[in-house]
Amino acid sequence: METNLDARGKACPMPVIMAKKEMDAGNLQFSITVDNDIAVQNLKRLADSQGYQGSVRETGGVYTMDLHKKGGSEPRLSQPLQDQPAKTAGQAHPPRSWAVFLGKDTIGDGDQTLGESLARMFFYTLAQSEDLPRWIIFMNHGVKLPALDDQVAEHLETLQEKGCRIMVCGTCLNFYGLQEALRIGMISNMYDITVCLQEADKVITL
Amino acid sequence: MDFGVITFASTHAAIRTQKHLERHLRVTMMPTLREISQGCGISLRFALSELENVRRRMAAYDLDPKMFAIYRIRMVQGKYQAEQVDADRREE
Repeated sequence: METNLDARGKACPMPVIMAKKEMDAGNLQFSITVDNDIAVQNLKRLADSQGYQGSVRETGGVYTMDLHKKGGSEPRLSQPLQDQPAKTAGQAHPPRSWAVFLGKDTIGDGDQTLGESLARMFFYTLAQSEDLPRWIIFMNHGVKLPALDDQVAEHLETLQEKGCRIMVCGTCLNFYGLQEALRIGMISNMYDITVCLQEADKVITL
Repeated sequence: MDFGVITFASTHAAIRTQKHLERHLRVTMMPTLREISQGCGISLRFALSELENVRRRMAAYDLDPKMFAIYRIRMVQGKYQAEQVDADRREE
């Protein structure tokens, strides 16, 4: 009989944890019910990363996601991340397997304004560079950059168009009350972020 | 793509000017181009369509003209070429 997990009322990342446990237990087909769109997005990414196919039904703000393992394929943790195409036509240098990690909204410690200026200039320079990271990850105070800084958001948009994946910690956005303010990037969770850090050949922490 | 930049003799002047100018026009903070050798590493980039606006506002701004310079930047055969714009003119 098909398992149906009820994750309504469960805060992030509980729905993802529940679904992951089911997958780890070898359940090839099950469904999970949640009550918010962020959980759906997180579950979709989990499904992709674990080789599951998902379809979502919504009724009155309640989402039921049916998941089943894609035929014969082994879990490929990096699949959705590595298959991201370089979207810009003629982009000669698609992103390589490295990541930039920002746990604060400045570069370095010291004067706040100087640190913010350095962050802006870093992303300006990176956006014009030919060697692009596959992932740019924002956590803790770092989420303020894609949410509140117009200039950084603009550079991130350019980077995203060139194929970089901008990942923004959903827990952190929630903590700072910035979910609605996010300008660019994908709301992400500790699972996805950890996988990126594990997959990356190098991680540059600013 | 051509654009304009303002360079500064000090970081503080660059940051202060950005706060002033961004109330009036769109400027983007960028590292000073290698082609322009200035003491401070922060420049402000703007669209050339705003050049006259920038000149006027910088002339009227409370900053010693020796502390900044305005350049017109052109990309020529894959390299930036910087041409300094007269920044000494004061608003009538």
